[in-house]
Order: sequence, then structure tokens, then C-alpha cells
Amino acid sequence: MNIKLHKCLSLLFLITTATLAHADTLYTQLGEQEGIAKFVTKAIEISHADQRIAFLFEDTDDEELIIQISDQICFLSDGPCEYDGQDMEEVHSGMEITEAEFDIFVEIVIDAMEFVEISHSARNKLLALLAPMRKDIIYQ
Amino acid sequence: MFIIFLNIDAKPLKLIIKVFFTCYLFSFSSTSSAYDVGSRILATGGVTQIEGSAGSGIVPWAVLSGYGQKGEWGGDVFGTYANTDDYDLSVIGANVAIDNRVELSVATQILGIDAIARPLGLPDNELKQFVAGVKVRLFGDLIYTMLPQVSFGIQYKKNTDFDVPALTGAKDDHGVDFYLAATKLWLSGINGYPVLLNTVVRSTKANQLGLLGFGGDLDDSRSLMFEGSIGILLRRDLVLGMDYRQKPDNLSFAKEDDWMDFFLAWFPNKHLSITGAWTELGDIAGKTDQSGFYISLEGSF
Repeated sequence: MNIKLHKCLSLLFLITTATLAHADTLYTQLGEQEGIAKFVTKAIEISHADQRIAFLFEDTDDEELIIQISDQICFLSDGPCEYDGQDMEEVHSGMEITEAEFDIFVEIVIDAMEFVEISHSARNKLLALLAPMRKDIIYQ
Repeated sequence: MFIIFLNIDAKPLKLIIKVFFTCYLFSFSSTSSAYDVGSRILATGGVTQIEGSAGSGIVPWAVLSGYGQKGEWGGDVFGTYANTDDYDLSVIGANVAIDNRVELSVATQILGIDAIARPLGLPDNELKQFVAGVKVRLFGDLIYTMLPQVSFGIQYKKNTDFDVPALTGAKDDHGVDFYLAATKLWLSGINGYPVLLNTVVRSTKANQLGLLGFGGDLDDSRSLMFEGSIGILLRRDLVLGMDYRQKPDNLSFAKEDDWMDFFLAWFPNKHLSITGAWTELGDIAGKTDQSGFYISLEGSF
């Protein structure tokens, strides 16, 4: 039992030291405004090409959407942006987005971030900030 | 890893090849588009634990198998082989999950007991059992809700042959486990490396998963056991973690220990996962300090 506990603790220690590397802000890790705009643009581009959710983007003004999402991410990641965007429930009202469509978009955002070489760690920090919004986005 | 397989007998190799082939068929036969798997995010179905339920190596999680979200369905076929100093365990099975709500599973476990069969003059050199499981997601979501995802599960187990378990003092050739699992993934985790915590409370009478029957001369009542897993996503497709499983000790003929394992699960895509683990299983049927490797292959659809 003691040996087992010791092994657990060693593993935890190893993981902790391996993962506590750099201390940049998330905004910097995402590549600042330019980097954020890049992966958001990529995500919208992939969404248009994905037959499972393309219809949700049929009537959007892409340029405006990219600015809105980028500003929001900049703001959330402690960047120097004011987000004066609309309420999440309001923006998605009438769209009746399902859990499945939401997950598909999340995975597309991850793909887009990976495409512009944002680190695993920065990607997850951002996703953690976006995840609580799901309840305001689905079934509106 | 595969070199180790070539050195031991052919059975595990055959099992692995069989499962790999099935996975391969599942991966490619239906791939008319990239979209034929469910929508849930990569790795969120876990892998399949040794009793056939979605989870990690030896512990079920509250997540449902495959990648089906609400309105979709999914599932897995899997094969697992574990080898300790004196025993080897082969498991093969399948499961389906409907609507991200209900999971149904079947599995067959075969434990090779050559090491004790001959010295003790046992009538069989294998212990076999069949497991059928149901899991229902009660509430919560692994990722998106403050509360963890919580599921209730049932595993019905039946020994194919009761001769050996009966000799050891087991009372019954079948039993039912009930468990409640709570699983939560924190995306920001440790500095952006997502961390998963899973806790399970199980009511059971099973001896060594049920392979040595149910109930015993020491204790023929249900025991409430704790199980847990902790994992970290080193990459979006790679989970490193450990499981702990408390076990009852119902038989006087041999002590039964808690189990634990350290695992690394790789999800190259939504059709396939490969899990390697190191297990520490303690005393099993009189053989002390059993430990060894574990490998599991899974095809998801």
C-alpha cells in the first residue's frame, strides 16, 4: 500500500513538473490579435466546408462574425480588447443548435488552433473559458 | 511491446490480431465520409474497461462508449490481454451507446490459471465468465457542466463453469454489480493539460471480478467498494493515468487484494484506440504479488 501510494505521488510530481513550464499570458500564447484572427478565420472556413454544420453559417456575415469572435477571445484571454458583443443567448436565438452541432464546432475550433500551431496547453486554457457558454448557446 | 507477444504463447497474439482486424474493418468499411462517427470530442468516450463498460483499464467511467451525442449512437468492439507473473487474462467484447444516455455491453473474460491448476489438481486450467452491462447517464456532462457527469451502471456476471470457483468456497456462479460513477474533465487542468477525475462506488459480491464466483465462506454479503481513476491529456489524443480498484475479500482459501494500474491510451482517430498499461494486482488465488502488462485495442463506430 505504501509503495503504491509512493508510486502515485511520484507520477503526480512528474506530471506537475513536466507541465508547469512557461508563464506567458494566454493572450500571448494564442498569438495575440493576429494569431487569434488567424484561427478564428480558419474555423469559420472549415465550418462552411463541413456539411454537418455548414447550414448554421449560411446567413452569417463572415467578416463581422470573425471580428466578434476574435474580440471576444481577445477579451477572455486578458488581451487589450473591449468586447461589446451581444449576449450569447440572443445571438444564437432561433438557431436551435444541438449538443452534437456544438461539439462539432468545438472540434473544428481545436483543429483550427492546431492548424495555426497553438500549443495543446493554450488551446485547452481557451476551451476552458469557452466551455461554460454552452448552456447559453445550445437550444436557443 | 510486440516482441513480448512473440515470446509468449500464440493465444494473445491471435486475440490481438482478431480484434485489430475487426477494428480495421470497422474503421474503413464504412468510411464513405469522415463523419460516420458520433460528434463527441476525441477521447471523451474513454476506452473499454475489462468488464466491457466505457472507462479506463479496470474501472468504469460515467461516460458512455463511442462518440454518439444526443440524437446519435455509437459503440466499440474491443479486445484486451493482460499478463501477470502467473496468470493471463483475455477479454473480448462490444458495446453500444444510444443518444448519449444508455450504454449496453457484453464481454467474455478468460483467465488462464495453469500456474495453480496442476499443483492443486484443479479440474480446469481456465476460468471463464460472461458479463452483460447497462449504464445510464443520470445527469451532467464530462466537460461542460460544473457538476461531474454521473451515471448508474449494472453488470450481470455469470461463470461459464463453476467447478473451480466452487472448490475455492464461492457460493454462487452468478452475481450482479451495481455502481455509481462520477467523472469530470477539467480542461484547463494543470497549466492547460486537461485533468480527468473519476470516482466509482460499487456494490458487489464478486471474487476476482467474478472469475472466482460470487460470495464466499468468509463473507457472503454485498460489499461497498471504492474505485477511482485519474488521468491527464498529454495531447488531445493521448491520456496518461492510473486506476485504483478496491476489491472484497470473501474467500478464506486465498487473500484478494485491491488492484491498480498505470495506463497510457492513444486515440489516433475516432475509430481506434490503443491502451497499454502496467498492472499491480496483488495476491490472486494464492499466487502473491501479481503484476504485469496490459494491452487493449478498440475499434469505435
